[in-house]
Amino acid sequence: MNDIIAEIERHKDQFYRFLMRNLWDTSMTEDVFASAVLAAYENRHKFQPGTNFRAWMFKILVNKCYVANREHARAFEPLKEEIVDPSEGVSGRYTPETLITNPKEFLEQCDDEVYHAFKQLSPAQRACILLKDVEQFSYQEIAEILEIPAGTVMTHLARGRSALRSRLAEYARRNGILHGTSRRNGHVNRSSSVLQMCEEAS
Amino acid sequence: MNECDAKQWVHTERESSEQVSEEGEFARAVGVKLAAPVMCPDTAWKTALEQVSRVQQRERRRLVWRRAAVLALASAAVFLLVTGGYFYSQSTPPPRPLFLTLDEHTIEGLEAKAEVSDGVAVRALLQNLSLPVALDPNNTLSSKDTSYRFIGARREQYDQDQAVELLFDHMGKPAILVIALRTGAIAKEINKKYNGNQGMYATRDVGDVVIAAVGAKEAGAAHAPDDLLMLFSDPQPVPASATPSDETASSSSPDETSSILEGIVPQAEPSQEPPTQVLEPITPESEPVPQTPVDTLVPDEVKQII
Repeated sequence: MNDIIAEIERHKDQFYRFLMRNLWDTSMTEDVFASAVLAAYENRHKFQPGTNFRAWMFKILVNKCYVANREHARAFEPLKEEIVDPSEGVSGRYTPETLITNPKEFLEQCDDEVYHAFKQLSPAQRACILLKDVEQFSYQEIAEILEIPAGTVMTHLARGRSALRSRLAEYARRNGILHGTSRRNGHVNRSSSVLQMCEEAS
Repeated sequence: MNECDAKQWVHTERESSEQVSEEGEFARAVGVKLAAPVMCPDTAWKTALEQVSRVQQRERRRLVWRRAAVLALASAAVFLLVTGGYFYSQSTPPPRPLFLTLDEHTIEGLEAKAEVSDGVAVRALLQNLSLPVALDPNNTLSSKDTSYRFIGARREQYDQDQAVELLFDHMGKPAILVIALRTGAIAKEINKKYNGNQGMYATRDVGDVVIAAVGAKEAGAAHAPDDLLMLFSDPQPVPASATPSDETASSSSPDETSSILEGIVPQAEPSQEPPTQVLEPITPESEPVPQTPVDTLVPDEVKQII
């Protein structure tokens, strides 16, 4: 018993952060966290020693997030894949190219809007992005955690990132963060609607 | 793949790599942004531990109840076994008294079963089992004149009661005298068998002892196994049903059988006159059965000695 609790305690900040990022209603985070810990304790006999404890625990967290978000209907609203024109009304000091050349700086400018835009994604996309880009799990591990094929994980990742970029570009355009035109020619990520729109704007 | 296709392929590869690179940059940036440290509040952790603690207490209580239930079941099972065993033992009828029949007996079998055959040992056996019986000094059997031959004696046990069996060869057929206390289980079986007319030939009470003659009597035969009952002195009247006749008694010299049996008889004084009356087997079909033959046969002097 103490082994499981000790392991959870070692990674409790990561688990809590995952819930904070993934839950639509952050006020539920503490309850969901306690519920997840309890579920892990009650199902401790199912954990096989020597296997990846974090992956096992994240599986519980993902399920708890699904259940909690399901209680809020908005959590399962399909994400509208709007095509946004980033060049429309741009007047800020960043160009749409910044999204490609220096995304880190751009995201810092967006500040908490990143979290807000992230929560607009579907639960699967959020889970895939969190597990891949934050928790650094492999595609196969994510597939096992979410119990979906690895190809579906990649699809969720690509669509989630694309949607996130669209949301952020829209936010940046509205708030005057983006301005000017892209100087890039040719090398266009055709799967990214935002960049495509950037090119078209240029 | 032609040259055109190859160029297209190369172009696609380059695009893909750039796309992956751009995706990677954005993904890393998103990862860094989303990975901003978040501390798990102490309240959340305490809440979780409290819930776990409640579950632990519930599991402990459940474990205690489960152990108690197992213990109670085991105790109940033991109790049922003991109680059932007790009542079963109480309700189980005693085994059939096979020693009161001759179904599986032969002369050879009796000879094999005999444990002792000399008088001293027979007397010791009777004394060990507290069976106070004595041979009637007036009744002597002669193997020459009678059909009885003493084979031996053995101890018999039945339902925690013990008896002594005197084994005889009666006209070439086995005959047994069962000597038991009147208050024991064997005496009850003897009475049941005798009253039920289940092959018990004759019985006789001698003080606290009951003697049963077990043997086959053939129709028209001159001798019956119940004649063997007259070997013992009897302070009490002999039951009419078990009383043989003494009309055909004849004198003869003591034989081996009588000498052996005399070992268990209280020794008479040497100066006393030898018994004059000798019991002889009779044929019940042809001769009437007297009521008290033994008492009339024993002289008063011998009775006083005995």
